[in-house]
This record gives sequence, C-alpha cells and structure tokens, in this order.
Amino acid sequence: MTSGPFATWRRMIKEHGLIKTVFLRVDDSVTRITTGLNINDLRSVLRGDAPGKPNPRVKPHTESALFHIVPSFYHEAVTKFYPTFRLGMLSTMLFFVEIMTGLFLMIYYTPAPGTAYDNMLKILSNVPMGQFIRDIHRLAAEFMVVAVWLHMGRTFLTGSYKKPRQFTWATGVILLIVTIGLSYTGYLLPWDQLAYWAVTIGASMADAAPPPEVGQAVGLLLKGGPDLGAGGLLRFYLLHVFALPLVAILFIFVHYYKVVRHGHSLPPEMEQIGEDTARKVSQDKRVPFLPDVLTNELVWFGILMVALVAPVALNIYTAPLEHAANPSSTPLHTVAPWYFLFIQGWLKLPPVLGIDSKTFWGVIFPTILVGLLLLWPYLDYNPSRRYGDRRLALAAMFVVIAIMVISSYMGTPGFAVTTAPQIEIGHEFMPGEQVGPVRAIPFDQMLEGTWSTQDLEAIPDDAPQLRHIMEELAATIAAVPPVQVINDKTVLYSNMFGELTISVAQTRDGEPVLKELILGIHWDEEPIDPVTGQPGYFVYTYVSSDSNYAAGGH
Amino acid sequence: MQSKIFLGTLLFIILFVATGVVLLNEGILPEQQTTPTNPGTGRMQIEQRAILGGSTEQGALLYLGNCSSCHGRNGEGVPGKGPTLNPDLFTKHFPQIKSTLGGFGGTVADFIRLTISAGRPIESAWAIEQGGYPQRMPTWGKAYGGPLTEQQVEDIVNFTIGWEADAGAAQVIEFDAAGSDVNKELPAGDAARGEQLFAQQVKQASGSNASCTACHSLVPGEVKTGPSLAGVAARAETRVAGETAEQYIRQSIQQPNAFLVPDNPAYVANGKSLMPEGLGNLMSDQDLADLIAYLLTLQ
Repeated sequence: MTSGPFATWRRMIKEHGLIKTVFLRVDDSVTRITTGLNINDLRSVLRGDAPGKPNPRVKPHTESALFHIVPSFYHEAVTKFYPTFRLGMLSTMLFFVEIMTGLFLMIYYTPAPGTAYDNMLKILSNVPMGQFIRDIHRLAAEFMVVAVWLHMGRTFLTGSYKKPRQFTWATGVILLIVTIGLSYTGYLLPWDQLAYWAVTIGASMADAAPPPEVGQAVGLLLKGGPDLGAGGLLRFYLLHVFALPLVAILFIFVHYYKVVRHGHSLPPEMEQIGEDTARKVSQDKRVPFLPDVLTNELVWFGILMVALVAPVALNIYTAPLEHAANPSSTPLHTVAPWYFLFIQGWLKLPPVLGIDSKTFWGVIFPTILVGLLLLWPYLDYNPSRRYGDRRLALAAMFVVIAIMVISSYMGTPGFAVTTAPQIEIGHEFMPGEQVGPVRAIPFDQMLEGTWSTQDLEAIPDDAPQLRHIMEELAATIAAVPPVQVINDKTVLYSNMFGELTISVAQTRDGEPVLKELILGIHWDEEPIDPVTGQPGYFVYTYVSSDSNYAAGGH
Repeated sequence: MQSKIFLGTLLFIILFVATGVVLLNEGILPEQQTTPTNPGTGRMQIEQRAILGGSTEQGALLYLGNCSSCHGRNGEGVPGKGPTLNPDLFTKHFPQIKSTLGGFGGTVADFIRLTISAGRPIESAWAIEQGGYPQRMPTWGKAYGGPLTEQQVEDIVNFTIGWEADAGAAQVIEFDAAGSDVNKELPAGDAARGEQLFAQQVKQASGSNASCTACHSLVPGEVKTGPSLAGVAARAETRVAGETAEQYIRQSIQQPNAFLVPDNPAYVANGKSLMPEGLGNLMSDQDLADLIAYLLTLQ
C-alpha cells in the first residue's frame, strides 16, 4: 500500500492522472466549502437549471451551521414584498454591518475618558476611511433601530405573533431591547458633550428604580460611580462590544431557528382562522432558498449597502461629534437619543400615585410596557389573524404609535420648557455645541463691524450669507411676543433687536485666521449682562478660518 | 432571476466605485500631503486643520472667560494683574527661559501648557522683572487642583500659540526713546496724560505699560519695594541742593543711580538703586514729560 507524505495524492494520480486528480480535489474542496454542492451543482445553480433529484441544494441546510438556521424553501407568497417587507432580514444585515464596521473602529479606540475623545479625532483625521466607517457604523445603528421597530410593527400588523409563534415574538422583543441597548451604549463611546449628557439622562433613570436602595445599586453598577466617569465608560464599552452582541447573536439564532421550525407566516387572508399552513407547502408553491431566495437577499444587501454608503460618500450624512465631554458644563437643551425621546417626554408628566415622575414614568411604566409586549401573544386570545377580525387590536396599535409620536414630541425642548427668548435666540443662532447658522457664514463674509437687525441695508452686497442670517435673526426677533411670563414674572420684550459684532481675534502673516463674533440682543427692559457688565444679553463665539463650517464641517 | 443578478452586480459595482472615490479623496496620495508650502488637500488633512481650528475657537472662548481679566482680551496684559503674553511671551519670556533654564527641553507650547496647568505658586523671575504682581497665576489643570480638563487646557494652548505667528511683527515699534540723557529738551508735559500713564490706562511709546505702580504706592508711607510717591514733588524740591524738583524727578527716572538717598538702605542693593535702569528707553520724550508733569502735581 502507498504510504508516506501525500499518499492520497500519489494514489489518485496513479489511478486518474494529474489533471483529473486536480479536478477531483478542487471539486472535493468546493463541496466541503459549500457543505454539499460540488462544482457541477454550483454550475447548474448559476445557470438557473432545475435541481436534480434528490435535490443537492438542500444539503447545505442540513450540513452547514450558517444555512441550517434558514429554511430550505419559502412559500411563494412570502417571497413578495408584502407581507414581510424584508424587515427581519434587513435588521440582521444591519447587525452584520455593525459588527464589521465596529471591529474596524475597535482597532483605534480605547475606552478611557482621557483618550476616547482623542481617539475619535484621530479616527476622523488620521485614519484613512476612518470617518467613512464611523459614519456608516452610526447610520446603520439608526437604521437598525428603525428596522427592528418596523419589523415588530409588521409582525403585529399581520398577527404573525399568534400560535405557534408566540415564543418567536418574545425573542424578538428581547432583540428589540438589545438593539436599543446596543445603540444606547454606543452613544456614549465618543465621549463628547452630546454623548455624555444624553447618556447621563438615561443612566439617571437607573438611579430612580424603586426602592431607593435598589436604584442606587443598579445606578452604581451601570455607571461605575455616582457620575459617569472612567468606570462607566468602560462598562458601557464592554456592554457594547461584548455582552450585548453576545446576547444578540444568541437570540438571533433562536429567532431564526424558530422561523425554520414554523416557517414564515403566510399573509393572513390565505389561511383559515386558527390554522397554520406555513409548513404545508405544495411542491409548486415552493421557492428554494438556493439559489432564488439567496439571490434576492444579496440584491437587498446591495440596496441596503448603497443606502448606507451613498449618504456618507456624498456627505449628506455625517456622524455628529461635539466638544469633549465636560461633566461640569451642561449644554442647554440636553436631549436623549431620538428613540428615547418618548421617555424624556413622559418624565415631564406629573407624578402618579405619589410616586415621583422619574420612578413612575422612567422606570415602572416602561417596565410594565416591556412586560406587556413580551407576554402579548399569550394574552391575545383572538385566534384570527385576519384584519377584519382584529379591529380592536389594530386600532390599539395605531393609538400606541400616535402616543409614542406625541410623547417623543413632548421629549423635545420645544415642549414645556420655558427659557427666556433672548437665551433661545442666542442658542438657535450661536449654539454652544454644533455649528449653528451664524458660524456657518463663510469666513470671508464675516465682515468686521457691528451689524444690526435694525439696519439690514448697511450689510454690504458681497456678504449675502451674512445678510441672509441677519434677516433670519430679524424675523426670529420680530416673532417674539412683546409680553412674556417667565418664571412667574412678566417681562416686556418691546423694541427688541439684535446686533452681531465681528472682529478679528488673531492674524497670521497679516491675514485674519480667527474671528470673534458677539451676538448681542437688546430690548427695552434689558438687564445688565453679568459677564460683560453691559446692558443686554450677549453670546460669544469664535470661528477659525480652518474650521470649514460653511462647507459642512462639524 | 437574470434581472436580479444584473441589478445586484450593478449595485455592488456602484458600492466599490463609491468606496474607491472616497478612498482616493481621503488624503493618502502623495500630492495630498501637507508640506511646508502646501496645506494638504485630502479630507484627513482638511479635517486635521479643522480640528485644530475648532480647538482654537474653544480656547479663545475659554481664554475670554478665564484668562482675559488678568492678561487682556488680546494678551496685552493688565497692569498690576497679569503680564503681557502677546508678544512678550514669544519674543522675550520664552527665549529667556530657554537661555537661562538650560534644562527646559520643551517647546513654547509645552511651556504654556505647563504654566496654565500647574500655575505659578511661586513668583517667577519674569514676573519679578516685570515689577511683580500681587496675585500668583492660579493652577488651572484638573490634575493640579484647577477647574479645566486636559482638553480645555490644550484648547487654550492652541489659541495662545496663535499669537506667535504675528508676535514678531507686532513687537517692532519705532520711536525716539527718551534714553538716559537728562539734558535733552523735552516738550511741554501734560499732567493728565501723565496720570493715565502712571495708572497704566495708556501705553508708553514702546507699547508696554509704565511700571511705576509695581513699586510705588500713592498712599502716604506705604512701601511696595520703592517709596510712596505721595508728596514726591515737595520732597524733590529739597532733596539735592541746586536741583529743581523737575530736574530731580527727571534724573531719578532716567539715571536712578546718579543720586542715592543717603541713609536709606531699603531701596539700595549692592550699591545700586532698586529703581531699574533704562526706563527711559521704553518712553518717548513726550511720555517722560507727561509723567514728570504728573508727578509734580503730587505735592
């Protein structure tokens, strides 16, 4: 018998000749990689031939770890856009995009307060494609939150959570929570003002968990200290890159496996009430996963990636980055991430049953809702999935959506937060964080001098953007009601006007490189500004010629 | 099926092309690099400048809120509170540090960072030379017990360093100095302007503040290094026989060592007056005449 090195090769060459042997070995390798399809099978897939019998294309579903969690065939009815809208698949793809871009970002990131923000600046300015990857990571995270919510809404709409898919729904609720958790923990990592304060709002909710002893312990566990600091950042980081992805992967597998087990639920009108025929698909209604569904999914992946890459490549979307986190300076109008605005809105509601707002609306009520969501399939006793039989449930769904939208609006600073108009105007035109309209005036149009909303004609024609912003300022000021009640005091805002004073703060080779902009707001009953000692209200800012705000810099 | 394959292929081509275009624009090509003559045209190079620009803006704001009350809005210094930073820091102070303290290996940025962060718990030789300041530079960095984060200190450093580019240009002021010649004809003095000079509300011809108040009080009997100038006009009248008060005061400013008040060792060290020499080099004839006119009003 042949023995020694390459025994099989030598034996095969003796038997078949060299060329045939190479072909057989490659064929063997392809079969291993595809877990069941040899070169001929693969070729017939690509040519669009009908599969042979027994169908070799089913093999990967039984042999491969990845393919065994997707069904080997779909019912023709669920391969259309309705009823799935591809939302579950898109969520999974977005999760995959997040893992890939996240791994890249991890290379350049250290979760420590002193370095995290520096790392962000390095990623933006010193890593080729760094900003591109970060923007996609951020955008895909927003997409993912949307996709998961919509997926859940769709499942409710078509009643697909009903028997036998109750547990699938429950794992989906957990995946929703994990998705929001991933997005939220990632929000903190840039360690800028936006991240720090938005997360501080949410993390303070943990402190409000009843009873106080528990709240304190939970808050301490999450934040690693009384305030967010080095400990908190590290914990959020570990949740973001390790714990939550682990839970997500586990539940995605369970969630997917349940789909293999029960099949995709058919459009409600196709089935008898109380019946589930998703697994009883006649041969002529079957669409095989390989190659039809997979091709379809790859096309969707392409569409998704273009939807992510296009706004980033065209500079339509840029992930925000504000100034480095400063625990001792709270920016005006701190808001939670948009998907948590509804809770911020609830926090403005009055206490219930003697429980303070933060504890009731921030902890108890959301917990009840999550519990209700998890258990909903077990509570809903209506066996029918048909729209006509579920008028109450569908009405309830739209009421809940409306409540969420209204609550989210209530979470914005525009609702039930009274700030003096001069502060609002100052914040709107020259915010402490982000760019704002005044700073976005092109540098060479920031003409030295004092420009007043009372004398717009004085602004030279070669500064159209300066004039435009001053006109907007004039319009905003004109819209201020002359009499306002602020903190129970009546204040007269008559004869209000604004002044923008621009001067050169620094030069280089005689050219201005830094300009000082002072926005002064004046009215009849103006107080003495505590900083300048002058009557009126003043906001200061500086703009560097390198900052690029006019061209969309951030 | 064919149309899907076509669409998918098209989408992936778009993806690769778009990503490639982004990559080529990033700033990895040789012609996009920053050189002494070329500011660099890649996205990363523009971003680097924008980050520095943004830091400078933040620094300017922090400087305005925390530093300007003692060092002036444009670093010109506030007499009696804080020394001139722009341009003295770059043209005099730091060069002096480099030449006298051989052990300081850092750049001017390192020096500014050090001084802002750790403050000046002990009066520096420079401050003493400037006439001394009643308040020390506080510590600003969090690591030294101050209020500012490392990033904020860095922002202020970036703003302060921005003065350096034009510091040399700003420093050269051409004028005819009064010097040490006590016999030169002086124009008529304006006592009101002399008072402003003394109170450091206007500058001398050199662009710097008159440093009288650093050592001389106007409160009778108060000694701040030098004697109180309350009643100086009356004293000057009788100090040296044959000299008028005007002559005596003028000599004291231009030639402080020409006459040492006998039996007054508090104002003398190593046989020389503590009154610095060369003050006349910082003022014009008019400045000198105005100051003398003012001092003569202090009967």
